[in-house]
Amino acid sequence: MQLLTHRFALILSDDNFDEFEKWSRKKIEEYQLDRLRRLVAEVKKTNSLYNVKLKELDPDDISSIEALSEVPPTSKKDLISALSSEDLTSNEDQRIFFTTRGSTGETLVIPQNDEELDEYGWPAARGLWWSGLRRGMKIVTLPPAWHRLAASEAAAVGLIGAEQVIFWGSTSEKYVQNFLKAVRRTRAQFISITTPFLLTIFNRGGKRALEGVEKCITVGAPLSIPARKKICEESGLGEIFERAGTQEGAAMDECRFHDAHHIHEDVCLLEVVKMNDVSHAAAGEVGRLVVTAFVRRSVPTIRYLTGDLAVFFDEECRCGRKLKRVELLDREENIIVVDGKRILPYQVRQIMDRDEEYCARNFVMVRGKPDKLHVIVEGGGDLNRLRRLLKDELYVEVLVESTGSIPLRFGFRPVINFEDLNKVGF
Amino acid sequence: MPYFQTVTSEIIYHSSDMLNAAAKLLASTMMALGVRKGDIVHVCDLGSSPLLYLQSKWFVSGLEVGASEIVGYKIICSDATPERVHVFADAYRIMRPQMVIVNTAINGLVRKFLDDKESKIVVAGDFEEVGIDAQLIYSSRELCFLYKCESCNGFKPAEGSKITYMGDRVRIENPKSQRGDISGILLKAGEYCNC
Repeated sequence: MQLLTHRFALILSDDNFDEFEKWSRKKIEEYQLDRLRRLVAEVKKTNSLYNVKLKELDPDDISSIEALSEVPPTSKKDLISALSSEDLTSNEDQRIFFTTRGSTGETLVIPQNDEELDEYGWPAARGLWWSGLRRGMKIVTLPPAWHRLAASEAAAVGLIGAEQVIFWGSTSEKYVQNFLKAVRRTRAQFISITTPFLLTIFNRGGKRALEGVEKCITVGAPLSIPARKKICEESGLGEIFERAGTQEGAAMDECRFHDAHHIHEDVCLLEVVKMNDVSHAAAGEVGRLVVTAFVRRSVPTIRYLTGDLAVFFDEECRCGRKLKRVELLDREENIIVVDGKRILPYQVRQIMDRDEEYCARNFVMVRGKPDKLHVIVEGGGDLNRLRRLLKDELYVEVLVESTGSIPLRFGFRPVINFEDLNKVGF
Repeated sequence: MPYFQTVTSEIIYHSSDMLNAAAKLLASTMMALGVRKGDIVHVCDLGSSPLLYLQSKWFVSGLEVGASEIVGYKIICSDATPERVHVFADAYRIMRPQMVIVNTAINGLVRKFLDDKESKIVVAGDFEEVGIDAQLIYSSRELCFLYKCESCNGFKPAEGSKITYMGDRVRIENPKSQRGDISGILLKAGEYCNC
């Protein structure tokens, strides 16, 4: 039994899942234009927020997807203030509600209907296929209620005919041993987890903890090339594929070349706008990720500012797919200003990952010292050397501390406030 | 076909038939607890709990229809760990669930956001680790559900489960062959419903 509606002809070759990924750029954009016109027509009728925002946009007059860039972006605050309980609960189609993480201070409740879960299951299957998941293989998946991505993944596993394994627990340090037992006892070839959880398994799970696992799909934060290499070599894991997606509708996966994420452009349109205004960032320039989900939903996201920082790549991928590529780097709310300079956990991670001793180590940045970058790392080592490394590359004063042998309980947040230090076990 | 790890780390396999039968049992349990079509239910348990994964066909490959889809209620999903409880406060400002099913580990934390008595709170958990305040208990191994009878305060199984007594042992038999000795569950939970 499989849930998903067939949207494109399946290819199921070694390299390709479906015909969509073989389309030309022109054909992809024609498809997107058609979906955009239908989306605009629908939301202008049904949604008061977008009826105002899209006032100047007549669906019949949209001649290219570029026309969308004239529409002012939508913030989380816009959506929350426009949403009423009635909007969320009156529609009988909306059955499952996921919450965003609340990392910006406010949580958005995202309802999902069958149509949306069905639409996102298809590209999830495409991504799993690219990573090598095939019929009969076992995959330990994320806990099902964790995120829309996890629900899409269960449907995708069913479509491919692989065998889903659900471990007991959640993606936190407390459940590392449960997770590893589930992997070993089922001899799962695949695991699909969050990047922080992978790092926690790597750092706390013991030597060769992932021996026998062929592929790991991670989501939630980027992993550098040195970190991937170290994790694979020391844990026994075969290969890491990054997946990315947001509750608000972005969906992306890496192909076998691991050179940024291909966007699943059949379900979403992604843009990267500059940090200080809403014009498009050039390829290679870090900016803010904006998503338009083509899918019909009761909380539409059109030009929605996801809060992610991203960068587009304009050269064609070696795999030959014409799907655009983007790399997600970090979250806007993680920016810490030190001595007037904006610093992200992503930058600290890159520097640490180039150092053999600190590569793939768990850490958090502490917000609270305006003149000093405050970093806490898990485990010991030459902290003074790490301080110098960070200072030399980031040009700010740095304070490095260690939790010693105590694991960081940092959940999904790479930045914490000074007054919350006790919450991470420090 | 899906494999599941139980709370005691055992790996078990449930066929599609078993999952579908268990989802029906969960649906009847939810109705017995007072949930109706159109209600909003917040299930605050680990994603690996059958209370959560049997709620929707979208959560487990092989499940054709989940309990929420059988009855027609809406569910708010949360991976219920103490670190994530803070997001519930925002969610409750936007939508007020008629029922909140909460595991014992975060029961106290969740109650802080639900002090206006608009939501019925049901404390739940796997019998291996549930506390004495539980009103809904399940076995992640046998996929059985028992809920507290409001009349006698004893536990009764979901409609459709068959209970048999063999001396001092109590066995439960679910449709599609999930069988198990639930003496331990009843020992922990308290008296069996005799209404």
